[in-house]
Amino acid sequence: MIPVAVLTGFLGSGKTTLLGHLLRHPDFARTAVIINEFGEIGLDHELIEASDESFIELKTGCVCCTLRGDLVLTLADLLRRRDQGAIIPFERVVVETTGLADPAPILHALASDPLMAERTLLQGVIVTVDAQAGLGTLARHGEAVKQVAVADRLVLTKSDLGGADLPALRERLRQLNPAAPLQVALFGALDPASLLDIGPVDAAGRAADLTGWLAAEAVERLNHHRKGEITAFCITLDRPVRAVTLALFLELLAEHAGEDLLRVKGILDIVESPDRPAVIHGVQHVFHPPAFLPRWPSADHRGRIVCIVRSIPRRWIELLLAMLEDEVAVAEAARG
Amino acid sequence: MAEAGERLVELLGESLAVWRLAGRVERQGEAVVVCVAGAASLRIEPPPPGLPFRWLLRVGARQRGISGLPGLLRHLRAELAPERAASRLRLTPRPLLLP
Repeated sequence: MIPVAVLTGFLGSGKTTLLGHLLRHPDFARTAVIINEFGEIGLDHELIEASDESFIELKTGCVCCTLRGDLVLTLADLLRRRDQGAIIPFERVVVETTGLADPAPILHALASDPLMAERTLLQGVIVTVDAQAGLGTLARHGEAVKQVAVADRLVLTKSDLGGADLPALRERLRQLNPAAPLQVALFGALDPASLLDIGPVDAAGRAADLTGWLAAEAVERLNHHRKGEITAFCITLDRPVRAVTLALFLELLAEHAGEDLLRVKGILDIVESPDRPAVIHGVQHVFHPPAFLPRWPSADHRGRIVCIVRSIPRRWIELLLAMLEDEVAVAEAARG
Repeated sequence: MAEAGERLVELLGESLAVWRLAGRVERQGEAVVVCVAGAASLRIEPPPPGLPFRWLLRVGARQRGISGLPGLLRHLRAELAPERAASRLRLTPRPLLLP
């Protein structure tokens, strides 16, 4: 399995600078990079000096719009050439998007394609945020807000320039995505090792730090003072739910609120699987099939669902799940 | 029963927000009524005895038996917000975590 990370962030937020630093570090040797630039002639790649063991493929256009299929084709072609020994045996892939890209369709493409599912492991989304312009950008550009909301890791850039209102920016980022750890890049650089494990899975595709990934406690702390169109909240369940309820719940979430579910992740106690909790994860209407863990990752066995959503009331999700569970229980009792 | 009715009123009220509709949901005896500007009122009633439905949905002179919550939400949305295309759940070929 080859890990694939998506590197995104608004225009001028320091993605390419960060990538340049990463690619010069031995930890990021043997990295294939797909850079997507907006416009007919790509320029940013000229600025990147990679090690001899890494290389860059360039696509122009907007990867989240016209090039979604191209992205999968490019990755498939890279894997084929790697298998044939025509290129270096790269060990990871970084997809750098344009600053205007919506990461959701890119994640859909990577997660939904059967070949990608077989050969690659979607590691997570790294989002750069410009400390100087970040607050204004988040206030004016919905694309930037969405990028932050789907991040697994946030990287604050240009804070070394001074003068930025960092506390306010940190608070805004925490409101939008309290589950994503925030790292600071100094002069465009940060410890590459810290970006190698950003998601819930290790290199073999097995569960790594699920508690950290879920970050339910961080989200819960914010639950009582939410504001704004995009919000994050955590729903805690004291009782297990039936597997049928979970299936219906995900179906209804996707059907009625799909485009407004920026990220849903959770760990659930399932009636039919009392010792093996189910992990759920979805971006908009695309979900991974629930994965059952061999055991609970911590002593807390309550179900928790972390939602980062746009204008979806928390109460709607709570009621939907509770009422579905009641309905399924009644149907089950009627069947005897 | 009354508590279930209250929860249904609350769920449908929140559903209007999810569908970006301005309107109101209220109980009228055993029925729940959904009113949205520019659309006909919808009445959700208990079915007559003997019918294998959970609710009867009335839209003007039309009526339809509804067997569960997923069907109720689907029909309400189709009546009230037909311009908002529903998404279909898509599952990826592989779970996030491997066994």
